[in-house]
Amino acid sequence: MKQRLMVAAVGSALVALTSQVWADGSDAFKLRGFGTVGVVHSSTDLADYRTGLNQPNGAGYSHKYDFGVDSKLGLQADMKANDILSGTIQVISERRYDKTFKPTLEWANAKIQATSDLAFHAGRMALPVYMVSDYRKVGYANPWVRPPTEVYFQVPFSHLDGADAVYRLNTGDVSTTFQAYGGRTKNKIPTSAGMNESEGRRTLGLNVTSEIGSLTLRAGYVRTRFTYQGPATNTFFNSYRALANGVDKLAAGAAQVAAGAQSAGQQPLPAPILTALSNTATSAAAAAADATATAQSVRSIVERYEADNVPASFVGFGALYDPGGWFIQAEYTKRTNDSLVADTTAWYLSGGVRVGKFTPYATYSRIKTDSELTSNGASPISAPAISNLPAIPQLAALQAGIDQVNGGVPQINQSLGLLNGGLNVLLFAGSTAQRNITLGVRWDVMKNMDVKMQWDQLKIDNKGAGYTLNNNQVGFDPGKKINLFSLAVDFVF
Amino acid sequence: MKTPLVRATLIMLLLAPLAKADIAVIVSAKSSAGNLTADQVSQIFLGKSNSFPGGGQAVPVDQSEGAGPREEFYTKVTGKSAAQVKAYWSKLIFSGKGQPPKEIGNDGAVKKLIADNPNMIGYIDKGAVDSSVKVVLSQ
Repeated sequence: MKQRLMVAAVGSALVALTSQVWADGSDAFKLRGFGTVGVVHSSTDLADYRTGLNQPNGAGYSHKYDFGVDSKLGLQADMKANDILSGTIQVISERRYDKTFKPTLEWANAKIQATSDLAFHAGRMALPVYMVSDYRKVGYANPWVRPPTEVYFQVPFSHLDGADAVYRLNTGDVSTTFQAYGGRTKNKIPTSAGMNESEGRRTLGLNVTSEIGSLTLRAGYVRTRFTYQGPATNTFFNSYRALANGVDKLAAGAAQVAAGAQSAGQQPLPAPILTALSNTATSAAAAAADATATAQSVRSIVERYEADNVPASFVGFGALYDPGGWFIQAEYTKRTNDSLVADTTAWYLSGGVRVGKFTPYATYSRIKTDSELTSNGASPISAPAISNLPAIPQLAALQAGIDQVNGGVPQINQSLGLLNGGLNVLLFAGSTAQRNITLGVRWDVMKNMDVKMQWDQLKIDNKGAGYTLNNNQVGFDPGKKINLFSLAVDFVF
Repeated sequence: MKTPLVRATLIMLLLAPLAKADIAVIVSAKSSAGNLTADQVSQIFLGKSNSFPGGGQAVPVDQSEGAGPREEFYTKVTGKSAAQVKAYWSKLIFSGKGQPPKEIGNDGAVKKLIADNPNMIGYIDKGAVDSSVKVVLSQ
């Protein structure tokens, strides 16, 4: 709510600024745009290839030739009130989580240039976790059809609602920029099990970028409180919670039986009955302790795997060497978080040569999963059944309690087994390992416009889930290489 | 008879593009800025620096896209082709990090503007230089 208010406030301030600038008739207002018309064809029709976790469908299963994967149109208004205050609004139309191309407000921020080397932004801005975060959607500014997806899939947010401070330090031939930022971010992620919400709260990050001649080096760190929830995961974890409550009741029942058997054992009763009572008391106490341990174990699974406001971080290192005639660029990134969402490491190495108007390029990119994709789940109740009592009327009530506890244990263990199985399905769905080989050529066909042709060969490791795929159909073989053919026209105006 | 003429013509043909391509980076005659290196000029025109090495604000002005000296200037001074410069500015513009130099017509318009503004820096064909401006780099 606060977030929306802030964006709205900055937005209306910018609109006010725009109208003032318009009234002045000065050229302090610039309207520019960028766009891509692209089409992708995949060699498989049993899964969709897409370029962002928020795209619900793509090329392959849903479309033989998909114009929605890369095509987009962006409009940007830059306004300048004076040498200190300026603002930027950017609106982008591209395929959204709901399959529409409804324009979204990508940026709306005000900038204060405090000194020639220090600036502040507030409002909605790019979430700068990657080397090409802020122009990743501007095809014309990039050598490829799209930034390597293995790396750029990891953080499913492109903008941040918050503020930053940017300081530029020029020392001799080295120009270093420090950017500290904070805020929150949100996105919708369509999955086969419904629409999930992804959110990063209390996000804090720092980037350091150094330019030394043709060499650019970058290091970035960001941490956040991460939430990733949807109808399926909520139901799942609520089932675990309900089960933990059920196990608590069972433990209480077993404790009652133990107490009952113990107090009955104080009565003047024949020796064999006293022995039976004592055995029952002991085994019931053991069952109670074991059930309590199981309840704890179930709760610790929820604690360990539910992505509800959990600590998460992302580290990235990047390098670009571009002396003009050729370029080489690489990024190495690591994602960690305390939930069922996988921890990942991803990197790419890309290079190209500029031959007149043509820039052939090649990229190798890879992502792997660092966290365990399987779990033993919560431990079942393993204590032996509570021993039965002699069938005498005085002990019938106690025996009924024993029967209830003994009957409940297998039921609980069965539910637990199902949930533990579900947990493993969810963990495996987070399996990310894959590699991609890209070959392409950019042709600067005319002023402000390029044409790109790109071939990608995607290979999913260990018959994994297919990180950049969606809508996988029965019969889809993840072990088989997938060939993708992309054609894109990028333009700026 | 014919040979010297042919030779002269050939030499002229060979030299013509070179002669035409000489670029002068200029500031106002009133400016206190001294000679600059290609790197320093490149920093100013690519938005990496907004001041002259000796101090004082430096505002670069471009010639129009398609104007003769423009491609020549960027190739020689920054080592980037027109398309590369365009892609470079696209990165900065659409990341909200900077705006390219203002475009001011041709040699004459640039010279006139620079002559009157001591904090501006531009480039023109060497042949267009006169006393109203000062050459800080010749390429």
